[in-house]
Amino acid sequence: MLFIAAGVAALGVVVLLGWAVDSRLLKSIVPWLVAMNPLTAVAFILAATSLWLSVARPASPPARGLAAACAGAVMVIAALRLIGYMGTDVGIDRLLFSERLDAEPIPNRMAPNTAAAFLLTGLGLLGLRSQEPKVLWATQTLGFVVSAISMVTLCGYTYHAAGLVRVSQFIPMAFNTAVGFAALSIGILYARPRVGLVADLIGEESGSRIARLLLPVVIGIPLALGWMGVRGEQAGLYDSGTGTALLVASWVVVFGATVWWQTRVLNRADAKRTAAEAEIAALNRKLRRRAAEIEAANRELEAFSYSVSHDLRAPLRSITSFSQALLEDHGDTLDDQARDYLDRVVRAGRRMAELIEDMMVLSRISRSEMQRRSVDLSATALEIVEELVQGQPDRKVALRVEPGLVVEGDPKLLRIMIENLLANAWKFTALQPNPRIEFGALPSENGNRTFYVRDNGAGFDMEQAGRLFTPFQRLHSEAEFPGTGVGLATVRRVVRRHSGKVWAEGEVSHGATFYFTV
Amino acid sequence: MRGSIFLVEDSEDDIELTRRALRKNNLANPLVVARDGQEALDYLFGDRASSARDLDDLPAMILLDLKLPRVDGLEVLRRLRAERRTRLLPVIILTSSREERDLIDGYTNGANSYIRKPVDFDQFSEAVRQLGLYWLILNEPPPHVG
Repeated sequence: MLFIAAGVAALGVVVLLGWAVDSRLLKSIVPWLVAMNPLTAVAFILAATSLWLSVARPASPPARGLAAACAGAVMVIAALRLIGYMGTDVGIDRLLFSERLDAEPIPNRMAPNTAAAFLLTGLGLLGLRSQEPKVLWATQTLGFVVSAISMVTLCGYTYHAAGLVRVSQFIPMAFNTAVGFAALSIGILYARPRVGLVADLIGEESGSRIARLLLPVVIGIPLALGWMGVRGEQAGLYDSGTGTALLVASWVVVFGATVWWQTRVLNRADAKRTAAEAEIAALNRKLRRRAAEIEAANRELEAFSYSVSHDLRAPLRSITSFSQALLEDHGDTLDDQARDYLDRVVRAGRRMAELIEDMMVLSRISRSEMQRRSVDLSATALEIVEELVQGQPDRKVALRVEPGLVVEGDPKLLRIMIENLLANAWKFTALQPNPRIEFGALPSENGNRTFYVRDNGAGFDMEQAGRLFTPFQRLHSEAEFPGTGVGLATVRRVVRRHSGKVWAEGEVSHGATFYFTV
Repeated sequence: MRGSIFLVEDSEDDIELTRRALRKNNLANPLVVARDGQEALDYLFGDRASSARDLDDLPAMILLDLKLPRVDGLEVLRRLRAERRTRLLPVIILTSSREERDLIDGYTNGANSYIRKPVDFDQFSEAVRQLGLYWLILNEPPPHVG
């Protein structure tokens, strides 16, 4: 972009220099063609400045202002010149080097097509910074029109078609002016490459790729072949009928070959994509099979753990029950030690029964079918709190439940989870003189809420936090706080089934906070 | 035997514990035991082995385990309910399973009650006491259909 702007500006400077030193080469590049008007050169410098300021980063407000001012100046110059052609001529293009302008073969003015192109260019430059898709579309369309004007002029020069380089009897657009417009229009089109027409061209999609391959062919070949045809005709190598026939025939050959070439390119890309898709499909099938296998293995494992715990109950019932029967029926013939031993057997049996029961609860949570619906966690928590209070009415606990916490999930499982967390808090605040338990949510971040259950109870050592959620792991003695150590493992399973996370923070004797997301 | 309790159970320990629980709770109703599903069906519907028995003499309640050798508990229940004579007999499923599937199947096939065997004898004894009190004393049995 910098190159284009610099090139256009340099063109203007060179022409002005040419006028200053009166050099035909500098003024018109091709000595026998009409020269660029000095005002046109000035307008090019202004337009190039505007273009460069419009795309320069970072965009500062003064730069933006200056860019707009330059574009505006270009439009004012062009408008004045066009008005001049319609009647009221202020002769703005005759201010610079006026005596040298008249020394030209034709008195040098800014051509009407040049003025029109500048008007469009100025408009286009004004719209470059816009964020409005519609404005950008208009800008790029203007760029296209300007490029078309310069194209027509360049073709006119190439084919010696005088009618194409000028409007009616007026002075023609200079050759170097047409080149300048070509560069400027490319600059306008590419200034915002990510939107509109240009975005279509530079994309990575196959359409864009084909367009990039085709455009040079479609533009270059007719130009080159046409030029050769005209030249051959002018040199008298063949008459105009033969020339046209040759031209058309060569187009057919070249474009036919191009179509075939593009077909191959597209087909090859297609074949590659089909192969890639087949590979992805195969990988997907494999993945699904793996997932099914893992799920089956998981189910099997859960079923196994369930049936083991289930089958363990029968012999345990015999051990416990017959020990109890011994104590009841023959307790009076046993000595104290024998009775103590039997008591121990019964107690151990009951403990084992609890453990088995908890294992089955855990396994049931993993196996149960998930139902997803809207669950009011606050209401659930209030119900559970009520039950806890009713269970131990003499305990005075400050309870706080944040209202209106609703999530999507399985109502049964979520209830089990909240129940475990609150019962935990209830249990571990038993020795605290002013117990407090709180259920709430942290301020929402990106819509994913983090809930918490906080207490000021016994707490735990953060170094042991990793063991909290492992089944049958306990951080407190059975004598201090009874339990099997399955509650938090249950919580974790419920959370995992909801694809959420659970973690804890705590300090010995200063309470614990359990956080979760679902 | 009128007023008898028919226990279908394959575990000798559980049979003994049931016997003891009945004794402890002063439920003097005679206890008849079948050790698998086929034996239970033979007893209720009669066959070579027990043809001498009066088939009209139906128990007052049936305590039925689900996991049984030969014919399982649910099948026994289905056959009972399919037969006009035994259709209305009170059947209490007494099992260690708490699988939701078993509960649903049990009730769907017409079980009157579903009790899960507790590990603790005191609780088991309490369960048997309440069962006896309810089904043998409190509950008005269906009229005898023959």
